Amino acid sequence: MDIQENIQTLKNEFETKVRTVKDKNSLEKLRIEYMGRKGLVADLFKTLGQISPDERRDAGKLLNELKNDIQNSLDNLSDNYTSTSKKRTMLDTSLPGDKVAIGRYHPLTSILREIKAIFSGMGFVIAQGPEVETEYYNFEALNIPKGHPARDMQDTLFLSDDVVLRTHTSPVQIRTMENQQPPVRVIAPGRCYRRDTPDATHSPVFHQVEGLCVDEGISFADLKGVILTFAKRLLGSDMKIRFRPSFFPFTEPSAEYDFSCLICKGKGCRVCKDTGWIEISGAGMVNPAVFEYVGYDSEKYTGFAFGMGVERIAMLVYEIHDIRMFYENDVRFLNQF
Amino acid sequence: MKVSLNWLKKYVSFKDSHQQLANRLTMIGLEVEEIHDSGTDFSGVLVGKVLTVDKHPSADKLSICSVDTGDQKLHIVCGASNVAEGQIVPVAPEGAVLGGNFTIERRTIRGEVSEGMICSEKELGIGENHDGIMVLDQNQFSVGEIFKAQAQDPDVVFEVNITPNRPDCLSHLGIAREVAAIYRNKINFPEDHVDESDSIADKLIDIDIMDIKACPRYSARVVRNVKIGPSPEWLRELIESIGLRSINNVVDVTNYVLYETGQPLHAFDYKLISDRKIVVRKAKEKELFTTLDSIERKLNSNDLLICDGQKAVALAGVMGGENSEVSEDTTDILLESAYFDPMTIRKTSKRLGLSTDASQRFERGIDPNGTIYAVNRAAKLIAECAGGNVAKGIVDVYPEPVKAWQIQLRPSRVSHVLGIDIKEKEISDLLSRLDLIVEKGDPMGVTVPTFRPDLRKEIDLIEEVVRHYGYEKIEPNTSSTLTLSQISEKNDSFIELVRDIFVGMGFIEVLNNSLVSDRHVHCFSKTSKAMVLQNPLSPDNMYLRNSLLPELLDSVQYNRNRTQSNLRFFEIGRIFIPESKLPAESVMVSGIVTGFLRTESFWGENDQKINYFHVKGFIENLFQRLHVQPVEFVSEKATCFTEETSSSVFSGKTKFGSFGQIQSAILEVWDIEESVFGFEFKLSNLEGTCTDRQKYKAIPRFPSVKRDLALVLDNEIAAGTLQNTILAAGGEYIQKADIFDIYTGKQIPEGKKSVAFSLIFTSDKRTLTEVDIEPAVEKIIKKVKSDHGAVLRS
Repeated sequence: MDIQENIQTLKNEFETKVRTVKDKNSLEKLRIEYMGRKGLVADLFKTLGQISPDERRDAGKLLNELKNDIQNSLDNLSDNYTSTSKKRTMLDTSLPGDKVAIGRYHPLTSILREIKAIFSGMGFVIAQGPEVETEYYNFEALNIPKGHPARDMQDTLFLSDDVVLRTHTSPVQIRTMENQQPPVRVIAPGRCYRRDTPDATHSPVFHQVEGLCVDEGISFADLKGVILTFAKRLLGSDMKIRFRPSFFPFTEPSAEYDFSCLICKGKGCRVCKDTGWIEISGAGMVNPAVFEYVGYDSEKYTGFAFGMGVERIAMLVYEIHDIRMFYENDVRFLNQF
Repeated sequence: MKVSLNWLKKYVSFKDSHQQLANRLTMIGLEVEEIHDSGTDFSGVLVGKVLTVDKHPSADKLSICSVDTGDQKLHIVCGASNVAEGQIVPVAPEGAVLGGNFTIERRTIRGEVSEGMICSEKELGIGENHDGIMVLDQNQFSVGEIFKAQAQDPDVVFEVNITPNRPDCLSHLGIAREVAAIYRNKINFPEDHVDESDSIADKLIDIDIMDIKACPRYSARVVRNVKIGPSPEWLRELIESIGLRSINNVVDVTNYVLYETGQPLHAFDYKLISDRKIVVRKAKEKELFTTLDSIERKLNSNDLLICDGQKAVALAGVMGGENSEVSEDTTDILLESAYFDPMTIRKTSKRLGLSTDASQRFERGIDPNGTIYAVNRAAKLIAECAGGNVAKGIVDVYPEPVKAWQIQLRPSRVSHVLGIDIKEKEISDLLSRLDLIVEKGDPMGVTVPTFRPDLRKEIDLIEEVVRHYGYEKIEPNTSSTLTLSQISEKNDSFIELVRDIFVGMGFIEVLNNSLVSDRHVHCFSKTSKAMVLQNPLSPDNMYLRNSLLPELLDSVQYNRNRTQSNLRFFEIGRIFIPESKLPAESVMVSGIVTGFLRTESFWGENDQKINYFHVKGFIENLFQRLHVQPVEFVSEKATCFTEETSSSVFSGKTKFGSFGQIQSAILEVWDIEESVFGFEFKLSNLEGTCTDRQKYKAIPRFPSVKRDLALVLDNEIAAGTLQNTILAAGGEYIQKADIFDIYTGKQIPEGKKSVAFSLIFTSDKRTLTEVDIEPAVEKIIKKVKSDHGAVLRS
């Protein structure tokens, strides 16, 4: 018999038989009968050796096609028998994921970390001091003697006649200089307290970052350079700064420094009251009188100091209009940062 | 201080606009905080467009308008009859200020919300027209811009922030001096020549200063036959322009001269001065004196009094007395122009809480050599405004005249401190403009006039130079010649690490006030010690916190009241425990956990309520991550946690803190009904034992062998102690003995439990076999039996 006929017969037989398959078992039987190692397809392949090479080429091709067809229809059937359960477990990827609780940093922490990173990049290290201070460190050694009108500039909370809650981070300047000789290059972040009735811009508790740099040959130009670099790194290279004269007993010359308005970029808007500038904080050259308190040679050394309000900067950056939000701890607020 | 530009222009001229002048003043340290344009005394007013006009449903004369102000549409109730659609109008939205101090608020007018006001000319202070709203030319104004307008012949008043070191600038002449320095102008000092009568002042009044330290100078003039009456128009206008109330011609003149020269003056009714005599003396303890505000004040021996032959007539430098006040019937005036010791006045003013125009100047330090000019000015003006004859001469007691002083200034030091290159000539020029007298040389000799008590040292002069040189002209130096600090702050990075760990475990960081109430410091124990403030703002803030937990409960309550649940908060902050003079300040990390383990719900499976072991897991994670190992968990009663859960954490003898479930009695105080777990650890204790840098340990090269072991033992025996026994008895190869199951019930006798351990054995030299493991397991079984009566589960 012609091998091609045999192939055709086998094909027809299979197509009849395959229709009788009802379950997994009968499918498996059929698979073994045709596709098994000693199955009908394998038998046919064996007969290829008995025919001429020309015929063999054509028959081999047909036989391979048959083998593929059978395999495909077996596979399809097999899918049918397993597909019901497969369909049930299909993933609905539109469902939300199972989220592990995610923590949040307080916005003041985040902004403080940025500030610390910028200053540490400029060679400043972190210094710390107590929040409850003696009147000596908070005022006197900063050249604010008793009875000085400058004491009125800050409303102070007292624990006893000569113990106060620090009204600024400046006492850390004194403690740092008492403990080391120049060069000094530190920032001192921390909580401060004033007897201010809380409102949108005042909080009796707030955070400052104090900066102090003392060495030979430090000048006002260096102070401006550091503040300018800080402003640009924190808020963008188009930031401008403005220094204007002011008064603090522990610095001289003293300054208030402003940043160009973040909102209008200096053109004038409601946020900056049309001035183009946003007031940030105070700075200046360390008053030689302060060096005398800590025993530094005020002829040999010069230095600068600056402060900044962390809340103030966070309010500008995050566009928060009420300082009290920082201490309310509403999760709907905290989860935004 | 309020500065009227019309007033200022009497003394000095300047060609800049008032905005430019304000900017120049700010840039020399006289910060102009506000500008009141007497014509346009409003702020925050915008140009708006009326989009729609509808009748108010319940008021015939009112309309409801929708007004476009550029970035928003306002709903405004308007009473003007001329309002119409399409008009361009000035709109005062919420927050705008009219008339200097009237702030526009959102309010409800006959049941309709009004988010602002459409303004009339009069409301803006631009004109008198109050018939209807002001309608603007749409070619000149664009919607959304800030509305600006100018009245005719305006005066502009600056609100200038004078720093405490500049008492000389608390006057128009003082400001004029700075303006003259800016524009290199001369000051036109007002005339102080007085036409005197024949009567001789010396015979009319005798002055006796008993305390020359408190009162270094007392100058006086007498003016007779004055007629008290209203002030002339020019005087009234200037007085009122800076916010003072016009009283009468004599009082107005003394106020005027105060604001002109900075020298406080006082006018006594001469006829009420007994014995033609002024005595300046300290008050007696508890001496009573009634100031002209009709308040009787109890004095002490620091307070300085001006007395006549019989009685006190003024509280020196602060306020006059009721008994010698100028009244309508006054005909003769005694004018006081004195210099008082700043500290004396300040103490009195502070103690009595009585701050006046006079006291503010005396306590900062006026010019001791300015009394004569001021008293002459006042006498001259009184004669002009109230008639009268000025008695001949000034009675002036000034035993130790204050002279101008000299300061040495090295030009090189100016450049050195400022980081600029400035020449001697420029320095000299800048200082001369401020009426300082400069002698050339190196150092330069700079003579300081007595009205500048703030200039005492070389650095003070350097500041004066740079003030007028211009801070803006100092080029920022951004090149760095860094001297590198050799010290690093470990403490701060440790705190940041702890913060990272808690955020990583899904905690939200909160910050609370360090100032708390009595309830907060005593909620865990009535005997807790805390620092108390002497002058708290309110009882709610009178203590320094001695634990972070109570305020974390505030945060729980706050958020629960806003229907927020599954809260997981932590805070890092200081607590304050009374110690010696200063309290002990410790940095703590505390937290609270409520609700479910998942902070957000998940559709897939049921969530677990937070329990003790979840919280213990957080704590174990913390210590593991900090490499503080091993730590010991000890059941220990704490004042805030339930007896069952209260646990403390130790490493050796160091206690780090404790955790547990907060007692419901405490939660009741905060109206919290669900269970809340809390913890509090002292970071300084942790930092001490934290080994932040680990040494690498070789990873085992040979596979480990696992063996499970189920032991049955009495319920009372803690599984943890059994674990310790196993590890101790397990020989050299045992690595771990993890508990993986606890079982009680069928098959296990009453009062017993089964604890299943998974034992791991490893060697770093070879693969272990049964021969190695079997004896170790035997040993363990023997040991747990002898120590704990535990037997192998069959």
